[in-house]
Amino acid sequence: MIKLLRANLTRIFKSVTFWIIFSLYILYSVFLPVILHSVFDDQSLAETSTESILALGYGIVGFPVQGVLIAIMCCIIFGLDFQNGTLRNKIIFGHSRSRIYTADFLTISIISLAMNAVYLLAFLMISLPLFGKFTIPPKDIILLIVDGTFMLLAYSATYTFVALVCKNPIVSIIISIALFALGMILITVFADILNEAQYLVVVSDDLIVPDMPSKSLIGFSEFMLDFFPSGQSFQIANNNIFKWQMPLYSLIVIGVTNGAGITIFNKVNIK
Amino acid sequence: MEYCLTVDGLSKKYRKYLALDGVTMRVPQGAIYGLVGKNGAGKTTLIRIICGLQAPTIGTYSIFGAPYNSKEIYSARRRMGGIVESPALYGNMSAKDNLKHQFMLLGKPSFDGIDGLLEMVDLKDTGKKPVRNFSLGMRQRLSIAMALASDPDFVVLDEPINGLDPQGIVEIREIIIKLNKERNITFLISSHILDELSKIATHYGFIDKGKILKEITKDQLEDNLKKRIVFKVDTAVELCSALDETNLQYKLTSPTEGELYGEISISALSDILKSRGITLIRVNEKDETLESYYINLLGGEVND
Repeated sequence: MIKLLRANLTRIFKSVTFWIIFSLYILYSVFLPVILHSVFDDQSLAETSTESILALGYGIVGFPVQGVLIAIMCCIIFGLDFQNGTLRNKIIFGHSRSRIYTADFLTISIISLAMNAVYLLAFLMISLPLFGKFTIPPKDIILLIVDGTFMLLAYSATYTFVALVCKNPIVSIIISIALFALGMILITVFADILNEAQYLVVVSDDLIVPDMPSKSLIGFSEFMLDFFPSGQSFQIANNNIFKWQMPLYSLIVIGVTNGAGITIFNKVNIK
Repeated sequence: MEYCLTVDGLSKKYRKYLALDGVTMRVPQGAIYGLVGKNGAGKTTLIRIICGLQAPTIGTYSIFGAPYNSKEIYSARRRMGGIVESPALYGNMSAKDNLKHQFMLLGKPSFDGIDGLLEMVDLKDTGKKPVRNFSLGMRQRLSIAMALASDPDFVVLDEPINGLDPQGIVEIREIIIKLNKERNITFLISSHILDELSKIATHYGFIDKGKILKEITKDQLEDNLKKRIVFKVDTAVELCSALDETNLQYKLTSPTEGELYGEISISALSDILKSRGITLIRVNEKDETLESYYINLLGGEVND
């Protein structure tokens, strides 16, 4: 495993594409808070909490920036392994497919954790001085970071699955785009249900509201937003909702996608 | 005799298409085994299965005695190297970096030996030039270096001279012969270029439509390819004594028919037989090449 990881990371660090993507993310981390601070008026600044800026590290207006970057890296890095035929070398020289898959997942996870670290570092150096202290207790700050970190690992597992099962980088990109679209639809549908429920409670004087979504639908919508990585991105970045269940859900996503991915990858015919 | 590779009843089916049908073959240790077949015969499919890239539908194979579906197969594969179809290289990296990557995959503690490999395949002066700018011949040579990175005992090469110029072909041939003689590395080489294979192979396996038609050693093949005279006479009496007079090897296929191996004029042969009261009824000269042998094996005809 260490051999595969070392080889993967060394190769990726020689890739110009990787450094372009990583540099873009560094710029995002550094300039986003600066731009926001410069365009906000005094009232907006007063209403913007420091933790909401931290939450932007996991998505912007619900759009999972990191998820997109992880998907692109998976398609390019692992897709090229299929296209070049270099995946063959790993198998011919005696690495099992389970280890190859796991090493690829760990590789992209390391990269996404590095991205997370970059954002946190930029936050400490730039956003904290600009936006001031947190308004939430330390345990919630830690929960936010833990939720976000596990969400990134769930994205890593998902897009490792897509890249290694699809075999073709073009097909991987198409499926990744489809998954993002599905994610945005999921967010829109379930967020609307929750927003509607909140609005109707606020405006209605009656205890019974005819158009009110049922409790089970509200619960289901909450679950869907809390379970899937794209929903978590929305919850964290848009709503500043941090829950202890979200890392557990992310672990389930990681376990299921990796388990299914390894099973399928073990049976794939490689040319 | 010990075998690097044993294949028993191997079949591979892709949906409705049967690519391999009950293949059985043995690659002895120390051999240069030429797997001969035309395009689409199943050579690459067989090699993909042996290299672990695909699983057989039916049948089994083992490498250095380790069955393909056992845990020991991973250790056995570490004694292997291979090129399947096209060179598998990272185009954005140099030759040296590709080999370093390979060394890391193999878990080698240092990069000692890389310069030696590059020198062996005449790529030591490529510097930082990315592999995507290499010619096909250079990429093939680098692939061979990659296959040798693990100091293997068994190397599988799928059409290693495809696309190479004559000099490149000679260089690859010399590398293979040298490694086989000096390090006793076993090679399994698939090719449809028979002339080139005939210069290096010690064993042959002929494959067509997914089946092994024949396995034969070089010596056995040479016996079959010798210049020979096929004859038929009117009587078996004193035939052997007459044939002994020619001082040539011969084989009787029936009491009055046989083959003489070597060169002798028809008139001289006729005189020898006549002196014993034997009449020559029919005589043919045959000068077989590996190509004509292979085509005959497929059931075709050679156009002279």
